[in-house]
Amino acid sequence: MAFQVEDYLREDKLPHIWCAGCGHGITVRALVEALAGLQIDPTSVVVTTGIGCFGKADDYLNTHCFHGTHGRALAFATGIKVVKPELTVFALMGDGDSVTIGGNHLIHAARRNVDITAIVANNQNYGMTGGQLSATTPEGSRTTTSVYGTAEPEMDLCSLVAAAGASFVARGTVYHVTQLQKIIQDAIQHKGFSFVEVVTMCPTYFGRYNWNQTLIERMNWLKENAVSKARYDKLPPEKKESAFMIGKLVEKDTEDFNTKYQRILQKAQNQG
Amino acid sequence: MSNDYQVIFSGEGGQGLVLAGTILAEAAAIFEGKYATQTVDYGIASRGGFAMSEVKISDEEIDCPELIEPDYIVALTEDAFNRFEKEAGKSVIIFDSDAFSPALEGDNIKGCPFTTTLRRLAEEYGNKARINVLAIGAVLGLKEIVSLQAMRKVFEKNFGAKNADINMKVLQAGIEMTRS
Amino acid sequence: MSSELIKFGQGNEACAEGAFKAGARFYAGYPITPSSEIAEIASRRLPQLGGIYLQMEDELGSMAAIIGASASGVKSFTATSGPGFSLMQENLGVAIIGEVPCVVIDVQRSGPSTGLATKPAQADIMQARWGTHGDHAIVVLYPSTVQECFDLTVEAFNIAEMLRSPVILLTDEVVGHMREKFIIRDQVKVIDRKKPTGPVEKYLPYQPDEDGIPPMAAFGDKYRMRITSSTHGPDGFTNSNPVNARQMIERLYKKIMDRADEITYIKEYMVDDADILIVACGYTARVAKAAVKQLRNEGIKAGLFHPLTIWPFPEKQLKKAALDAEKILVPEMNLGQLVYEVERILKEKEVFGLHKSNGQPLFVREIVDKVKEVAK
Repeated sequence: MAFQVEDYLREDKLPHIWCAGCGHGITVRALVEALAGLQIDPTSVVVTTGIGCFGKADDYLNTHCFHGTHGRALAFATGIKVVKPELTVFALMGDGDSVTIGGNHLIHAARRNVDITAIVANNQNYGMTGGQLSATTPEGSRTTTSVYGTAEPEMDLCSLVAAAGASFVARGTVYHVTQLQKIIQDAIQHKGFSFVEVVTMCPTYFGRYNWNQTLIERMNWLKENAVSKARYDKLPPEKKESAFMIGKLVEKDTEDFNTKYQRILQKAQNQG
Repeated sequence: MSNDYQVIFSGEGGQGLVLAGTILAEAAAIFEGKYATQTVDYGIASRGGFAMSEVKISDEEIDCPELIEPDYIVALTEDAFNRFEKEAGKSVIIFDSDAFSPALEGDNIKGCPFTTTLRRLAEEYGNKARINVLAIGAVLGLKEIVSLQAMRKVFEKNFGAKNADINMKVLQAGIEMTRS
Repeated sequence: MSSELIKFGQGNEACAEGAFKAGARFYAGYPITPSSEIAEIASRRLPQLGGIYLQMEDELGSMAAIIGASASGVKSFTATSGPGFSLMQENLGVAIIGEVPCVVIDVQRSGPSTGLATKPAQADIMQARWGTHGDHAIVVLYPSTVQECFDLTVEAFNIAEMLRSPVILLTDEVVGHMREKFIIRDQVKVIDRKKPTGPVEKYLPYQPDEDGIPPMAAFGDKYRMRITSSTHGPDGFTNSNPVNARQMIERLYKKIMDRADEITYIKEYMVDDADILIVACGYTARVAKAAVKQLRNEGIKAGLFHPLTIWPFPEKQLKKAALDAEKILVPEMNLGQLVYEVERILKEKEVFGLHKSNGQPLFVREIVDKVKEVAK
């Protein structure tokens, strides 16, 4: 094979800074395995990131990188992809970046259907800055800014993005690694906006305040509660409380923004 | 300064007053090789509310588009008229005598039947007859500050040859309203 | 000059045409009065030129998208007004620290907040300078005629490309909406950013040449490009070493300030024997020029110093122009912004302000009256 996994990594920047038990390293591994599997030239890949633990992911990638402000990765990625459609463009975000501060960009990216692959590492809190409340923190959970448990319900990322019109929506976990890698490959190959939520974990903050479980137990929790759509639909209601669907939730053929824009260019140039 | 002209078109949003000013100034600037500026003052909505357009035409480069003692003021609404009432004496004010009857009278205050003239033109030309072109005509009837040839050219450029004919007829009707 | 290049149009239109002439092929924006004509024209003209127009969800996204497009090698711009300009400040900082050239047009309107959306002001003079947080220098150009809107927009792109920095083109509602004859010049000087030339594996995105400006690769080039909003070393990786931080912050500042003369444009009118010097920019400079003429007719020796580059403020040039003037008047459509800069530069002079903040431009007679009042 022409490109090896190592070709996508800045091995000189390893080991990474993430905590023991954090799933971000697993997610980055799945990403580079997916890229190697597809044999995409690293110099044709642009990774945009924002602020947060997962916003550090670009430090370990030997691709083009754009490390920007909190919540704006998708907006930077949009500008990149529309002028350079030949590049493979990613937005790697945490739950804070993607939907808490950057929710407006997320729903419009889903609607606009620019061919970007968004990968959201959802660890249910702001890990980098000390475990504060996020829009994906489950209701009642304790964080350093919801010390009595939060009164706010959490956002379901995949449902939000699907409702906004995304043509590819999938969820994986850091336990189901082989599936995650396949999902990311399919997301890259999907023409149009692709959204991948990766359910991961933050033992250092969210876990410490809420789990009452060891890391191994939490991995088992992921294994048991993440189920396919077919299995989820058959679960009794009491089981549905903690269970969630993984796999591809939406996949439909649509024309991406750039394809449609080509026709606009034609029209303008014929009229002009 | 004898070849400097300053004109205000005022009324309400939707009457095409910005366009009136633009057309007149463009005719002078592009088709007569003069200097011209056009500025606007309008509210937040596309329709209704006070709106005006100011035009300055000169043989020399214009330092500042601000009008000092305008020569002609077209006021198509009573609100617009009242705003410029104090200019009477210095400027010629042309108003729509079908729409309102101002208390103020004088040689320099000229009532013209804008609404009825427009209605008559509309029977023939439909909605292509516009009050803003009538307003330009009303000014040109008093003084041909821009030649009719330049007006025809500016109509042709902006509205096409066919519509230029109609606009010239509307312009002529405006000229006749004020020409003594 | 062929006749089709002469147009009668608005300042906003001339800005858009200037951008296209400078080579801009990407616009992302969020419509806002009184700048929307620029978006409308960009949406019509860019596809004709093979470029892309994108209406974003807000000004945060607009600024981000033009930075992304420019980092991909396509000259990019946006246009807005006060409320949107405030939202753009966040990512304007990214363009500064990330050294991504782009042009932001701010057509000033009366504020604060929603204020008077269709009425002019000059109240973003300080926002343009200091709106984004952190230590930085920035270039702000401010035209006063429709022709200058065209010419200075071209220049804004050239400066942005030359300095690897965002440039703000500040106008106001009067300049943006006024119509005048202007020429879409056929031949303009167009500057493009410096590209890397050395070995691919040795390229460092923030390693400056001797001129203090790093060559810029584009996404998709064989050179690996890293753009970052974090304080970084030459390699584009986060670096918290205080020596490095100081070097980076100072280089970004100096690459602009050291070239102030190169990017300074001013106009002067009857300054040589002026007893009272008026300092004004944008539409107010035109009102001031008419006032100077009237004052001269009345025997009062007034003059006008009119900066077109307002940041970095042309300090040396103002000192020279004001050498023999006894008094200085700074008229502006705000409650006092530019006047503080003039006071700072001309400490030994008597500096007066004339401030109007009611949604109306200053009038010639107001400047004439104020000059007479302070001349006593």
